[in-house]
Amino acid sequence: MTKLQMERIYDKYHLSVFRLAFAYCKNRADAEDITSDVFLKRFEADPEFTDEQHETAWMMRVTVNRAKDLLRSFRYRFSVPLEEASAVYESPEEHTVYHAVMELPAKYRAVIHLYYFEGYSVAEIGEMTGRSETAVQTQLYRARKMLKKKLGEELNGNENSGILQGHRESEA
Amino acid sequence: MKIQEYCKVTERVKPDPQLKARVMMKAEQLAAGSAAETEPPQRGRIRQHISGRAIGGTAVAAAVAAANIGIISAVIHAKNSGSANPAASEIEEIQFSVPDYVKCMQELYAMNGEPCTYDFTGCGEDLDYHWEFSDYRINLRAAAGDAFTVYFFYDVIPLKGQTYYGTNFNYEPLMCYVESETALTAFYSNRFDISLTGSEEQGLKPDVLSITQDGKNGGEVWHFYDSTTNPTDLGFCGKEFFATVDSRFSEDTQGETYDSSNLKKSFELNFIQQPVWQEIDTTNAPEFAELGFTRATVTPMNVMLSSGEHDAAYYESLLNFTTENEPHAELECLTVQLPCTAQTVNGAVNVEYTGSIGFSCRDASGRDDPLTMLLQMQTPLDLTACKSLTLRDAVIPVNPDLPDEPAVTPVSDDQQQTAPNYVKLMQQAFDTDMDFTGCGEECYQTWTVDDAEIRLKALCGDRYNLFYFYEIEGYDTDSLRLAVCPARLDEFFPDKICESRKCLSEKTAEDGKKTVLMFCDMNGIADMQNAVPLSYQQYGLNAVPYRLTNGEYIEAGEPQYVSSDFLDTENALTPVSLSFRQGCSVNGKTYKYAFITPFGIRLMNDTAENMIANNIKALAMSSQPVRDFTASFAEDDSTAAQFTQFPVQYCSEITFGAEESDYQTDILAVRFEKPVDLKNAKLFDINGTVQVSEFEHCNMEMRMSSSQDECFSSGNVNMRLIPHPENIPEDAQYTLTIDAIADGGILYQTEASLINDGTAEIPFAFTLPEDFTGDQITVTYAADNYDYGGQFILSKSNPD
Repeated sequence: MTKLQMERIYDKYHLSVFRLAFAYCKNRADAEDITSDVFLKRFEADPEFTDEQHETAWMMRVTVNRAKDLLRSFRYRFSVPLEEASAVYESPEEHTVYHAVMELPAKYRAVIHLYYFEGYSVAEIGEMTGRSETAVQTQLYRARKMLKKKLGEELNGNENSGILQGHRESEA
Repeated sequence: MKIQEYCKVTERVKPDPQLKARVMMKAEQLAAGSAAETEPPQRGRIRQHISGRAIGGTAVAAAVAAANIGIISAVIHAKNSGSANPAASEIEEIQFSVPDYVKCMQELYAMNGEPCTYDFTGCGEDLDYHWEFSDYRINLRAAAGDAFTVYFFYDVIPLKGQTYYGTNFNYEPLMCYVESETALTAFYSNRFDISLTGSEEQGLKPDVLSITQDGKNGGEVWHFYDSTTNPTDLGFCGKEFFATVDSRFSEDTQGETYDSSNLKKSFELNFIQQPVWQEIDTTNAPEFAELGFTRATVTPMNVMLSSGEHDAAYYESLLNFTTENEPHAELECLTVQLPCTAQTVNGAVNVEYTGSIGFSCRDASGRDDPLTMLLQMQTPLDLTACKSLTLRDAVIPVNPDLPDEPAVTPVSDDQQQTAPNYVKLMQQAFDTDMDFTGCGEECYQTWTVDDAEIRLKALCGDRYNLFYFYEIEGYDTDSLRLAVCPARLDEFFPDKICESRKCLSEKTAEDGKKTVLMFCDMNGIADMQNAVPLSYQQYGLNAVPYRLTNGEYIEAGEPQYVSSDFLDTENALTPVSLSFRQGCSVNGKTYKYAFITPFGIRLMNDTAENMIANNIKALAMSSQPVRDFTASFAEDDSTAAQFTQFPVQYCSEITFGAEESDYQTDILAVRFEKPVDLKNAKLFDINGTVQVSEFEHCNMEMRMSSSQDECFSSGNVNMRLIPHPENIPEDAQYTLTIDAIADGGILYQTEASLINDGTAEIPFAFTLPEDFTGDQITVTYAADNYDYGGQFILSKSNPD
């Protein structure tokens, strides 16, 4: 793989990979480590993909696995506080909702992130996280319920299509 | 509220723009082949090209940590396996004399780096089940283990001479699952919510025990192993097992076209026995008792802890929850690390296990109660001579009827012969004959990194200073090091923490292998000092090997917990928190508390408990050296006392801050160049003023302490005395007279009638005369009818 090809792949996926990693580990340094590792794996393995969707799923899956490795590690048994410096809030609502999401357990954070921010379907998330569709649906249900409890009101998600499209277009 | 708010914020979260350059640089290095084969797996980083050489010592650990169904993420290739390609005659001989499962288990445990000769006879069963597809044949040939973990071994035999073993991501060549058909199959399937099951932790590839050549078909035969774990205290006893094969194996290297063939074969494993539960003795282990475990069972492969008897219906009820607030159970990985020793008739033996799997119950209030915890032995434990197992001072009987260990050799008069290892090592490191007894602890952790072995030998120090010793055998010591530090710190500064290190000795074996003894000082850099005492570190101390690769120290092995009980031990040399009689000013800042040990001084304005309560950060916000600092002590408390000055290695003023509040506090950290024997110290002097006196010999307990609400200034004096009159009988009533004297005259006088309950405080305040110009006030105190009294000096906080 040429350097140019690697750079193109990095440019295409680095935001998605980094943000998903950040959703898991909640701090920039570890998210960057994971991002770095995911791309090194991508460049080294250089798997053949049937289409773009396939490649995206691969990238997300590797990111999820790396993040899980990190969360399982001994040092992560203590809670890692959310880095305030990583987020800039433009309204109190942003602060409230973002914190509520980031206070969820990691697996719920990830599902919320993949579903609402990245806009993946339940089936796609199941493939990425190694869970069944039913399990993903259950986790989404629980995550919403937890958020409702934290925020004191129902979360208005409007499903995931708008955010996904907007984000993907901007990244592309 | 809208979830879009989360998305808006997330869109602003971006990585460092320099990350791209770093990734590209590493990619180029990997492409050049310099690092890919030799880099060890990094914590939280991708494990790529894990070879047998790199993971030998941690394969089982990784497996235990990774999954309840031990799909171990290590691959041993034939070129690295000593067991690869054995001569045919050897195979026949071994198979004839030793059951297959014994050989397999020995080979499995040998992956930890040491040959395993433990006789597993009776712990397993040879099996003979086959599956055949167009290109491959699968033989499930053996299973072994106990009620809680069953290892099984199967071979994949190519029928068309294939020699390719794919390692692409998500590529599962051929998986053979052995599971227990119990009510708790939820652990291994999606019947219930998968988040309960731990299945999401499942690895993606089976592990290869070894690879041989198939003479008949001309290809490679892959010998796989796997395990399944039952983390309930019921175990697998009396349960039926079944094996299925996932036929994801084809020329499709992405493995995307698999479908589970699900050829099910059921069988029973007769070697699994009912566990023998023993009550845990926690008399000397109150901390352990808090974990809630009351009984345990020990096998050569596992220690299972349980909080009580739980039947199948109980587990079933926990699993069948429907809402978030109902009780339910969860599987945990790596819940706790505990030091473990086996008491045998031949003495104590250190026991290493590779991780822990816990099963906990969450009640309706959200509280977690542990139900079970499973520790898997790194090497099989021979129970024949084992009387008991000690887990952090909690005792689990194994064979309590065995005779006691042989009498200990009588203590020699020569301290050098009888002193603990850490005492000798500290004496060697600091070139002193000072007695460090009580300041340290022996350690036994080992790591294998490439062909080298690292052995942690001892820890020593106090609540703020940590020294440790380790050996490296067979490696260039400049490129391999061990870091011991609080779990909260090791992730931040793995290579800086151990800047201060030196080689104490070096020896060369007959085979030319060098063994060096290293000495390290964790607090070699003042900035690394903790605000919170080491004894308060919630997650204890970690030891992690690091290796220099491409100019950067990277992790070269799994972190291991190291015990640090000595940090809390009170004895002649370990520190006791002291309160100054008056504010101690250094570098323009006043400190209320002192903490003096043979290794250094810590001056503080707040207690460790308060700092913890304020969620203080572990690392300093700022730090600056204080050059004008002297400290000395005297063994004579007369006015003509001769003071001995401490040679100071460094003195730093450090500001710590708290998370989510504006709390800040200052600490002055002083490290002595060399440990100071304070056994007979009676007076302390800091920067030319005697600051602390009248502490008892040896333990430095204050007979009276005080703290200032405000510093003594030109207007008012506010004091709070806290008497600790050991010479006055408990509950006795007495009168304490307090005089404040300056310039030969009494400024203030008061009397307090007290009962010695050890808790009284005497606040007093007075206004200084307008014409008072002194810089010092002497306060004397005396109890009537008792031999109790003394004096201390108040200094003006900001003298003109």
